[in-house]
Amino acid sequence: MDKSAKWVLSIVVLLLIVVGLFVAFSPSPEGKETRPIKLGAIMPLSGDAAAYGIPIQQATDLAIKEINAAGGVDGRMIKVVYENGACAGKEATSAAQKLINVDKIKVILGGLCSGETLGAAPVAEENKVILFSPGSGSPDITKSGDYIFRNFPSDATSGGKVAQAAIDNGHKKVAIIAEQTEYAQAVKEVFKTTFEAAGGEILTDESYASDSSDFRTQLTKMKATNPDGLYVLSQTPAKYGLVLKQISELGMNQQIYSNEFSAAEDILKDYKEEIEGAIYAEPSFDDKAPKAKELLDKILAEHGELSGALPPVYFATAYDAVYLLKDALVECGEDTDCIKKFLYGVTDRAGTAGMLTIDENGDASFSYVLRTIKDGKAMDV
Amino acid sequence: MALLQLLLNGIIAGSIYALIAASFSLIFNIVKFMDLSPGATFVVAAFSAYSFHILLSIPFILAILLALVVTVITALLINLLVYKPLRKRGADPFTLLLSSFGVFLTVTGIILLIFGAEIHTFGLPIAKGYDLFGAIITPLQVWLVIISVLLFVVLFFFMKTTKLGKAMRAVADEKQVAATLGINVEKTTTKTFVISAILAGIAGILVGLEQNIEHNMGFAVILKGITASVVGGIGNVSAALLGGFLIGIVENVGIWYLPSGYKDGIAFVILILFLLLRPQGILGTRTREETSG
Repeated sequence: MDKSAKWVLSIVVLLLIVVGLFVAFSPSPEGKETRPIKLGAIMPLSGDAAAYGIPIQQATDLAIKEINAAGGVDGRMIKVVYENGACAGKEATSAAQKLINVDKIKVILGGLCSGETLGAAPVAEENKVILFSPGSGSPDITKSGDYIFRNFPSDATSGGKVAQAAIDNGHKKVAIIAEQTEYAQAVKEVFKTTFEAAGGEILTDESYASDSSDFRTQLTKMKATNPDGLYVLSQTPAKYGLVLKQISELGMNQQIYSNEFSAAEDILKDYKEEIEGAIYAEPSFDDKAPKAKELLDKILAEHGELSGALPPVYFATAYDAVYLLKDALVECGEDTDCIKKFLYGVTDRAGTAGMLTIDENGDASFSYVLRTIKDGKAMDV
Repeated sequence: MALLQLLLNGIIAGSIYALIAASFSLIFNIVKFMDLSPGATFVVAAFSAYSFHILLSIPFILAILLALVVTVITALLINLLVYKPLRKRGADPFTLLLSSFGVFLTVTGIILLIFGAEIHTFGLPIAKGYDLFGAIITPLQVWLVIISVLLFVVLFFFMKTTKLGKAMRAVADEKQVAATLGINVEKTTTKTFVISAILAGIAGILVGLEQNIEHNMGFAVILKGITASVVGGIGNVSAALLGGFLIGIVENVGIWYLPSGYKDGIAFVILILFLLLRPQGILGTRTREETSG
C-alpha cells in the first residue's frame, strides 16, 4: 500500500469512529427515545423447513409494516432482526445467544419448528428474555420455562385425536413412520400412548433422518407387518410428499393417518391420489372468518400466492403474535417481567387465528379438529 | 418377500453410492487427496437438469446433455481457479482437502441463492412398480440400476484400453515416471476431473429424477460416497462399484433387524471397521508408501 492510500484509509477509519460515537451518544431531540425497538425472530430460513419459515416471515413483515405505518410503539419503530434457526435446536441456541448478547434484544418471536423453540428456550429463560413461538407444537414446550410462550396449540391433542380416530375406524393395528425431530417424535409418542391405552397395537415404529430421502426399507418393514393403518409424521410437507410417493410405489394402500400437512396446497396438488382419504388433525381455524380472510387476502395481494407448503393457520398465528408482542411493548416497554405478566393475562383476545387465551404454562388454549381429504379437498370428518 | 425387497432397496441406493464412490476414487488416484468437489458437481448437475427441463422446457434428453455440459464446465472452473493454483504452490493434501470443502460450501451457497431453500421436483408421475416375486421396483429405479452398471462397464474398459485411461493409471501410479514417459500430467489431471464430474453429475440427475432436489443434497452423498470408496478400496473403479452396493445393501438389510434410526450409523460402523481392519478396502492392495509409513 502506498503512502497516500494509507492516509486516505486512516482518515476514513477516523471519520467512521467519530460518526459512530456521535450516533451512539447523541441525545434524541425531545429527550424521548426514538431509536427503533429491536424484535428478534428465529425461524428456519434454510433447508426443507424454509418452505414455512419464509411465509411466516412474510406474515411477520406485513404486521410490522402495518404497525410502523401506524406510528410503531409510542413513536418508536419496530425493527425485526431475523436469525436462521434452520429448524434445529443447535442453530436456534446460537441464534438466541446472538440476539440476546450481541443485539441486546429483550423479546424474540420464534422458533417455528419445535426443535428451535426447545433449543432457544433455556437461553431465553436464563436471560429473562421473552420467547414467543407462533408455530411450535411439541408437547415438551409446555414445561420449557416461565418466559416461553406460544399462541399455537400443543400437538399433544393432535396425536391423541388421530389415535382415537384410528380406533373408532376399527384400525386396531397400526405401523408408524416418524421423522427424527423433536416435533414428530413427541407427537408420535402421544399417538402411541393413546392408541395402546385404547386397545390398539403398534406393529412397528420406524423413523428416518431429516436429510434422507429414501425410506423404502422402513416402509418395507411396515408393509411386512400387514397393518390396518399407517401413521405418518413428517417435519415438513416436502418430506411428507416423498413418503407418500414411496408408500404408493411399494403398493401399500392402507388408511393414512397424519398431521395438518395433508391439506397443504403442494400435497393436494402433487399427491392427489395418494392423499385421498387421509385422516389428520389440524388446529381449528376458520379461514372464512372476516379477520382471517382479510389477512390472507393481504398476503395474497402482496406475494401473489399463499405459500403452497403451509396450512393458512400459520400465517394467522404469526401475524397475531406480532400484534400481541407490540401491545405488550406498548404496555411495558422492554421490561420483560412486566411483559411476562401481560402475556399470562391474555384472555379471549380476538385475532385472525380466532380467540386466544394463554394458560398458566404459557400455552395457547385452542383445539384441534379431525379432518379428511375427500375429492382432493380438506373437510371435517 | 421382504428380504428380496430389502436387497432391491439396497441395490437401488447402492447404484448411486457406487457412482459417487467412483467419482471420488478417480480423482483421489490422481491428486492424492480426498477432493469433496464431486458433492458440488452432483448438486450442480441435478439443478441444471431441473432448470433446463422444467424451467426452460427443453426436451428431456437435450436437457440432460446440457446439464452435463454445465457440470463439466463447473468442474473445469473449480480445477482452474482453485486446485491448479494450489497445486502450483505445492499445497499439501490437508490444505487441498480444506479448500475442496470450501468449494463444496460455496457451490451449495450459490445454488441456495439462485434456487432458494425449498425442495424442487421433476414432477414425474408416480409409477406403479413391477412386481418381482413380491418385491417392487419402479421403471425409473430399474433404469437407475442399469445406467449405473453400464457406466461401470464402460469405465472399466475405458481405463483398461484407451490411451487416456492408461495415462490416468500411469499418473496415478507415479507422476514423475509418467511425465518422463511423455504423459502430460496436467492435462491428464484435468481430464480426470471431467470424467469424475460426469459420473457425479449423472448420479445427481438420477437422484433428482427418482427423489427430489434441494440445495443441500450433496452432503449426505459425500459421506456415503467416501465411505463406499474406502470400503471398496480407494483408487480402484471396480472396487467403488463393490463398495457402493455393499454399503447400500448392508444398511438396508441392517435396519430390518435394527431400529431404522441406525441407518446412517450402519454405514459409518462399516467404515470404521474397514479403516481399522482393512484400510486398503476390499479390493485394494497395500502400496509401498502405506507399508513403509
